[in-house]
Amino acid sequence: MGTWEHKHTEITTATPAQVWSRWAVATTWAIDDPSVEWALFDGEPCNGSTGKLKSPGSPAQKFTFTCVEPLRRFDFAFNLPLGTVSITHLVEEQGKGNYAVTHGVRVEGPLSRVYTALLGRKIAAGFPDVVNAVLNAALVSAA
Amino acid sequence: MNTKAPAKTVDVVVVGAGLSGLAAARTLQKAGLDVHVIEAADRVGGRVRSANVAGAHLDLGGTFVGPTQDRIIALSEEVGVKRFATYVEGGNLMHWGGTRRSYRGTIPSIGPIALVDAGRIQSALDKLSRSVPPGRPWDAPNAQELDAQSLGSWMRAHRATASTYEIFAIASRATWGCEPDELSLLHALHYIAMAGGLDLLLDTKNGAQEEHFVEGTHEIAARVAAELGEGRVHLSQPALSIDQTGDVALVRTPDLEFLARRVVIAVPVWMRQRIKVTPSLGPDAVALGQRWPGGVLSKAYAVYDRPFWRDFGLSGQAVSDRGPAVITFDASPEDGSVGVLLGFIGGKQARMWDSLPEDERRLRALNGFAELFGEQARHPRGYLDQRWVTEEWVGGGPCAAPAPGHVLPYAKTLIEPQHLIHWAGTETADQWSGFMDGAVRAGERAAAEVIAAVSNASITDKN
Ligand SMILES: Cc1cc2nc3c(=O)[nH]c(=O)nc-3n(C[C@H](O)[C@H](O)[C@H](O)COP(=O)(O)OP(=O)(O)OC[C@H]3O[C@@H](n4cnc5c(N)ncnc54)[C@H](O)[C@@H]3O)c2cc1C
Repeated sequence: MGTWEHKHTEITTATPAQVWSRWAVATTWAIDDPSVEWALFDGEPCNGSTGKLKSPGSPAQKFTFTCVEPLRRFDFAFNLPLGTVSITHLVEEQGKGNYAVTHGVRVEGPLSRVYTALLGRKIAAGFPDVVNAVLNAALVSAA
Repeated sequence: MNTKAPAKTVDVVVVGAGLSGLAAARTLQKAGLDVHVIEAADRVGGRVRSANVAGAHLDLGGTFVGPTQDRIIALSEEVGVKRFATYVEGGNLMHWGGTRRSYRGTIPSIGPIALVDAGRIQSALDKLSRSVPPGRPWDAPNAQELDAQSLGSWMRAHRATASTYEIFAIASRATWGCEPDELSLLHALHYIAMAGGLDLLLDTKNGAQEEHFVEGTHEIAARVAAELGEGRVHLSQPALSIDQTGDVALVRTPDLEFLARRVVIAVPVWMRQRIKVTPSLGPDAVALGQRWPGGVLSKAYAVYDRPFWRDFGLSGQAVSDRGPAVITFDASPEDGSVGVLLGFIGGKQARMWDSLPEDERRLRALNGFAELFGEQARHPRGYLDQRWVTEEWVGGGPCAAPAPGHVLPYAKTLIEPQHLIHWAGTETADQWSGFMDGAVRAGERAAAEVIAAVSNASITDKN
C-alpha cells in the first residue's frame, strides 16, 4: 500500500480573500480548471460536508470536505474503491504582501498505483495552468 | 466662438511622429517642401519609447537592428546615434516542460527528434515564403489558399510535433504579438519574405536582434524631430479629420488647421479609422482598419547591479514555455556597468498579464527571470514594464496581425494613395515591414510618392 503526492506552488500578490473567492465558489471551478465540467456543494463547505464533481467523459463523483479553514485551507477527498484521492488547497503568507498558493494531490490506499496512473498524474500535470487561472481570475475579477 | 488660428497653408502634413512619419517629413523637407507633422501623443516616437530606470537606459518598444536593415541604420547614423552588439557570449537557456537546460544558437535544445522536426517546419516555411513577392502578397501562387489558413492550422496540417508547435508559437507571440491560430499564413509568409527569411528574422547574431542603440531608439526619433526645426512637429494634436476638396486637403486637429497639397498618414493601420476622411475612403479602407488589428506585445525590464548571469557563462538569452516572458535578452549597456534583463510577453500570455495589477506583473516577471537565471534575478534594483495595448494612440504592437482571410481583400488598400492622401507606417513597407527599418522605408517611399505628385502638379500648373 503506497502513497503518492504532488504539489504546485505559485507566489502571488492575490490576497487570501481573493483566492478564497475562487476556491469556495463551486461555479468558478469549471471556469478555472478545464478538467471540471461542473461542481456543486451540498450547502456551505465545512469539514465533513459533501459535494459532487463531474469531469468530461466521466460520471459525476461525490467528494467530502476534509479540511475547510476559511481564507487558508480548502481540502476535499474522493473515496474510491480501495483508494482515496485527496485534493489540497493552501494559501500562506510570505511577507512583503506576497502569498504562496499551493494546489496538491495525494493518492493513498491499496490501489494507489492505479489511481496515481489514472488520476493523480493527470491532475498534477494540470496544476500550473489551474493555479495560474485561479490567480488570474482572482486578481482580474477583483480589479 | 472659434478660437482656432486661421488654417495654415503648407505643402504637406504628415500625420504621426513615429519613425515612419518622421522619416517621411525629413525626406520631404530635404526636397524643399514646407512640411508640418501632427502627433496625437505628447511625445514623438510612437512605438519607440525610452525610459531611465535605476541608472539604465531602456528601450520600451523597438530596440534591435540587424543586417539588411539599411534604412534605419542609415538614418541613425545621419543623426549620430551609435550601435553596439547585443551580448551573445555563453549559453542560452530554455525552460521547457518544467526543466531548465542550456543551449547554443536560435532553436532551443528540445532533443534530437524535436530539433529535426523544428528544422523541417522552418525550412518548409522559408521555402513557402519565397513564393510570396515582397510588397505584393496578392501575386503569390495560391494566395487565396494561403490566406485561408492560419499559421497554426498550417503547422498542424504539416504534423508539427507539440514541441515544434510551441517553439513557433513562442516566435509568433514575440514577432506578431499573437497566437499562430490567430494569424493569416499568407501574412506570416509575406512578413518572413520581407525580412529575407526566418534566420534573419529570428537570429541574434546575423539576424534582426544583432545590435542595439547606445542612446536608444527613441533618440533617433527625437533627433530627427529636432532637425525638422522649431514649430514643425505639433504634439498632442491628433488628426481628427481630413477633407479633400479639389487640390487641397483641410487637416483638422483639436487646435490647428492646415491646408495642405498632400497628406502622409503614418499611423498604425488599426488607428487609421479614427481619422474622419472625406470623401469617404470606401468600405475596404474602413474594413482594413478593423481587420488588421495590432498584436499584443509587452516588455518587462529588470535592472541589476551587474549582469550576474554572465558570471555563470550565460548570455541572458532564454526561451520559456512557461512565461510570462517567453523570450529574454541581455539588454545591458555596452560597458556592462549595470545588468539589464529584457523579457517579451506576447499573445495570449500578454493579454492576461496586461490586465493584472502592477505588483503582480512585476512578481510574475521576476519569478520567471528567477526560474531561468537563479534567485538573484528576483531582486533587481529597478523594474519597469510596458504594455503597448494601453497606449492610447498606438494601441498594440509590435505590428499588425491580420487573421486568416483578411490579407488578400485589403493588402492593396493598405498602400494605394487615395487622392491627396499617401500612406506610410511600417505596415506599408515592402521590406522589414513591422520593424523600425520598415517604418523608415515606408516613410521614405511615401515621401517619394508625394514629391513625384507635387512636382507633376507644379509642371501641370506651369503649363
Ligand atoms: C514591444 C515592441 C518591440 C519591438 N521591437 C522591435 C525591434 O527590436 N526592432 C524593430 O525594428 N522593431 C521593433 N518593434 C517595432 C517598431 O517599433 C515599429 O515597427 C516602428 O516603431 C513603427 O513605426 P511607425 O512610425 O510605423 O509607427 P508608430 O511608431 O506607431 O507611429 C505612429 C504615430 O502615429 C501617432 N498617431 C496615431 N493616431 C494619430 C492621429 N489620429 N493623429 C496624429 N497622430 C496619430 C501615434 O501616436 C504614433 O506616434 C517593436 C515594437 C514593439 C511594440
